[in-house]
Amino acid sequence: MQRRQFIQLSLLGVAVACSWSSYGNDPEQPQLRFLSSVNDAFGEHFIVAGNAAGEELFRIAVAERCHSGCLHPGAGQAVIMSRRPGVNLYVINMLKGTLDTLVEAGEDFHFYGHGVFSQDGTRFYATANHYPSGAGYIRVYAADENYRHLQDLPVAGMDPHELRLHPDGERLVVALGGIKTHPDYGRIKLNLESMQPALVVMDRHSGAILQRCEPSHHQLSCHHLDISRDGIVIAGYQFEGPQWETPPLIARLDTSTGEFSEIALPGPDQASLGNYTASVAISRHSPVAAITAPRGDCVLLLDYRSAEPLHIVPLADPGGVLAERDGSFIVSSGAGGVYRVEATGSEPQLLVQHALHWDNHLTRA
Amino acid sequence: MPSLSASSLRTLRRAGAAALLTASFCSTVWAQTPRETWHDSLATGYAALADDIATLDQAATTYCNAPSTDARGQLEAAWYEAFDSWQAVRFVDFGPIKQDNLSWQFQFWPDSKNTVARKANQWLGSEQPINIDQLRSDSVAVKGFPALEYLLFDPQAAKSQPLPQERACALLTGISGLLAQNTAQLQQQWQAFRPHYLATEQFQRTTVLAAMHGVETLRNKRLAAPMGLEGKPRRNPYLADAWRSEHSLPGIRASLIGLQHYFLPGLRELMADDQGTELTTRLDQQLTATIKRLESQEADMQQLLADDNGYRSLQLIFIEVDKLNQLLSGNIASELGIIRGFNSSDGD
Repeated sequence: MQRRQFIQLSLLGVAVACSWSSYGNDPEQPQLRFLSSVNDAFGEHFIVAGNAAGEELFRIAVAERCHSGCLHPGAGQAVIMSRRPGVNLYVINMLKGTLDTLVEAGEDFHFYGHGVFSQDGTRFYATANHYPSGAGYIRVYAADENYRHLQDLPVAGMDPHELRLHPDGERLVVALGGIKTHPDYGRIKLNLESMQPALVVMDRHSGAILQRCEPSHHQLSCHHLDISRDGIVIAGYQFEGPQWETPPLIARLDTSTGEFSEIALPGPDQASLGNYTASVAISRHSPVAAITAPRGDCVLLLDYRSAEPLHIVPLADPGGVLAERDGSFIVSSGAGGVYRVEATGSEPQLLVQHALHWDNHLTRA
Repeated sequence: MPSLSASSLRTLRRAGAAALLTASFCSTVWAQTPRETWHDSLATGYAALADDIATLDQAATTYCNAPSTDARGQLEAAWYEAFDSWQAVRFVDFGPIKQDNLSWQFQFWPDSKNTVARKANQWLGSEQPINIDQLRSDSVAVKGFPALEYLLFDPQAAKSQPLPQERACALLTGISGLLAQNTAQLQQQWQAFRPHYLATEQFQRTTVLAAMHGVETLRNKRLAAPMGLEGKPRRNPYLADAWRSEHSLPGIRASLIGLQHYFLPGLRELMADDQGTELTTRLDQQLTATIKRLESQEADMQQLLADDNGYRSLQLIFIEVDKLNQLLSGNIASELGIIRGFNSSDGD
């Protein structure tokens, strides 16, 4: 597909990509598109746009490794953020396939690589570290005023990583890794003994913490999540404790009842995830959630309603995952492949092989 | 050049003995599995590290109790030897060394912001009592070999609080004591880790990846970066490790000796067919060639970077290390079907 064609499709779609309403049952809606951070074979960094067939639509060269982001509800713009401890927010013109502007985190702050728009598109919420104190914040920007910084909402913890907008449009659900880092020490984790990870539900206006759920082990770093249209959160952990332990890595929070639980896999299946998860995607058309586990070279499929694990699908170095309308999932691999993973757990279908490394996440675009 | 001291040679001899032992096991009918061999080899490596750090800790105490030129010489020699023992096992990036940032506690590096000096100076300049517990709760930058190196070899440290002044000595013995405790913990946990390591198939790949990553770091960060071949195109000795003690190249040599003696035997078990034997033999030969090349240097990184003749010597070292990297991450990894994951090795 050429850029012009992509642009036409973009104009058709009005989606709030990081919330439940991102794609409903509208049969007129165009096919899935995504943005992803990539490294090429020479280690150069890009933001790449692709489609459901895994074809590249455009790429933008960037100076640093980026992570994830969000499509603006108006669909003409998207934000991709630099990876921890990066300080840039890349505002991308989805109509032209170009970089519109760069917004910096501001003195004493760095981003964690994730952000979300409000449903009306006027606000952008980004997870950030105030590194002199180590305190985590949601930095709030006026997306309709050239990303003017408005305020900071404390998350009452460290290392807020991925966040999503609740389907009610009023609450933010934030995964708190609990890990202290400081740019002077690069990516070294400074508080593995005293981490306090959590899954937090926050009022996006007042910043009030409405619920705080703690993982069953203090070294289960809560990093990524998705939320279903009926308000069920599936979150993925990364375990920072001993490699000879294999605690559960998936959390489930029903935001309508406040019920919080963890999903453990039976025996050796748990160990096969490699104590690490990368991305979470919940289908809007079936009760299935997919979680990528790059250190276990597999994708876990589970029934997010019943909390029942369904399948472990082998796939090398999976990172990003997005749910498709037909109930399948698109999964990107660090080894360059884009795959379709069926909810039945059958062997993944390689759609395209690229000579690049797809980074951790696919952002719906 | 202090680098190719008797201490390095002692490390080599001991590692050599360990390798011979391993080899004799391998010739029995009940050959060890690769992971058994790796576990045993690395247990030997960690034991050597524990011995050398105990000697270093003792030398620090002896020197501070009764300072003399001799005691100082012994202390510095003990630092070189313990540092080399650490370099030999530094490629291990799984198991107990991952706990509590232990690896960073041994060696905080790279240190682009000179955090080691800043942290050490804070301790030297304050009134706060210095002991192991206090240090334990402070930054990783002040807990390991680079902080000791700063105290022993950096004229900046000597300007404010030279050894054997009281606070400098308290910091020196505090750090060496902490290192000794950490090494004891590492050694004990490595034994406790054995059943899990042997039972978990994934660790085969993990161990090979650790060696691959070790050589890659050596090539790109420890050699190419100071040579101006990676990152900024400018020669900068301060990007190397152990520049304060002029031990950058001997440190690299010690890492290669470590691979030869603690990684290669297990790899030989893993690649026992004709093709595999050919590859592991070539790896052994390339390690030996690179080690020899390093041993023929008459100066360390900083001096070699200063003129074009020296730089040419570094280029020749780089070529050998590059061949090593090609062999391990190219031919051998491909023969084993091992690919280093992008997301699995450095995700977020």
